[in-house]
Amino acid sequence: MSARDAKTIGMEAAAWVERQDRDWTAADQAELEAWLAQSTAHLIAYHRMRDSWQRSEKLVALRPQPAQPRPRATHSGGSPAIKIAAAVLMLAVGGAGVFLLERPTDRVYATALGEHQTLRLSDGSRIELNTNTEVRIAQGGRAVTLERGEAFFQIVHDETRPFVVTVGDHRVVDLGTKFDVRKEHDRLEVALIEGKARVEATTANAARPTLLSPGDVMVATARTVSLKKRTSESLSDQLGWRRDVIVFDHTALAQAAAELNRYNARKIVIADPVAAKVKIGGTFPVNGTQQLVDVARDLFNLNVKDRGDEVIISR
Amino acid sequence: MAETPKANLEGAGTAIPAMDVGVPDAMRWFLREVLPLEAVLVRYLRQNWRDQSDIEDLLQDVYVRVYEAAKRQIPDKAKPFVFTTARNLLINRVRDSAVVPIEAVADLDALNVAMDMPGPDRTAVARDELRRLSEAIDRLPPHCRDVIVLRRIENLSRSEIAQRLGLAETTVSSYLTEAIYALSHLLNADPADPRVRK
Repeated sequence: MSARDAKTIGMEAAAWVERQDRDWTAADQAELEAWLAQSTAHLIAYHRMRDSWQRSEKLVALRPQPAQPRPRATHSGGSPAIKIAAAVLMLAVGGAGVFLLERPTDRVYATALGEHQTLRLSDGSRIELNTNTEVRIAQGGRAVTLERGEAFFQIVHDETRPFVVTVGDHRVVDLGTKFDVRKEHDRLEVALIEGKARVEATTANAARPTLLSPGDVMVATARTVSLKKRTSESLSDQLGWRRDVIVFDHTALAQAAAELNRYNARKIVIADPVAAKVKIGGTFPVNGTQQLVDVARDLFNLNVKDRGDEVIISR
Repeated sequence: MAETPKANLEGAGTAIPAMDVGVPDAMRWFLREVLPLEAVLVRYLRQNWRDQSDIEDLLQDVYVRVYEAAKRQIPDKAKPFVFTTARNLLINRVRDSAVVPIEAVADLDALNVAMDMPGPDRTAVARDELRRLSEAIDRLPPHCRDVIVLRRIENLSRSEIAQRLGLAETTVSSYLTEAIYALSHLLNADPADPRVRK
């Protein structure tokens, strides 16, 4: 028989995958790699567990549509959310996917905190989803709604079937393009890397559409629209997430923390206005919460209080 | 081009998790070609090995052998390779063990039959994925089902789940671990597999 039984190894591998879904540091990564190197059985078990965990991501499609406000839990046991979810599951199992029947045309893809996924469409277009992002792809694959988060689009242009990305009150129409779209509350940011695109408001008294050319970054809020030109270098930094890194360049610590917090459950809180303005630079992995904390403590001599889910930084 | 060159995610399939960038070719092949055979492979092992409590370990050994071979060279055809490996493993087990009675392996000559069993059709697999997932979730023990539903469908954090269910966060984590382990069996097994009926 094997040196160690398959169930023990399997449970250990599952625990690694579970741990990766929480906060994840370079030290954790090193520990995991050491464990994987111990035997081929470890390596296979880990990838097998990770595969099923990643597949379970598609369960998000079973979320009641349209997204309902989350019922508040009034007591600990038997929460309504679970009952709703369980009901949806039962329908899906019993009735060949009621959700799919109700919305036969749309497909929803979502990433969890810290995740990063690439979707390939049948026409060759690609959509790369950043952390905590949800897109809805309509039948035919040429109309996408960015429900939340950030996505990079690499679109195969088709004169007869324009590719349209809807974000809140705006629409981005591709004219042969690579572009990045980020939605944060009411703020929309569109960065054009290559080609041409048109951004138009979908509201009744819409302003003129904005035509973007490479290097343009458009930021729209409920009331304002601004357009600025960026160098290719700074655009590539902005798209660092596609390589799973975040690039800071004279970035205020508060902003750097907010950026890292987008990817991680363990949040950095800057509890001091002076510390918030400290400027930092460098390339961090998207899960580099601890690295940023180390920089704040070791390089800037700031005070660090670790509360598990939260790290408080002050002077 | 403003875009920086990067190790890109070219490959077949519809959605490729970008995390797979660092995954070796042999493992990609394994996940893509071998893992979907698990249901048929488990059925084969069950039919040809008497002690059913060994199946999980046998499966692991087949996987290790297949993967080690794929690291040297990726086999042209996954299915015959996997089943030949399984067959040789079973034969060796019988030979190596003086105490295993002859009937441990039911019929070694009949083992070739398994190679002709229909494997999963990829398009069908993709189409049925959501159904398969929800069925798998349905079969999880209730405490596992609750946490994975809240994590994956409701997208709650561990602390939110802990609060919602009145559990410690460490308990949520251990239930999730259990759920991941059970899912790996449920998702790859066929419904007749006893591992599926908890």
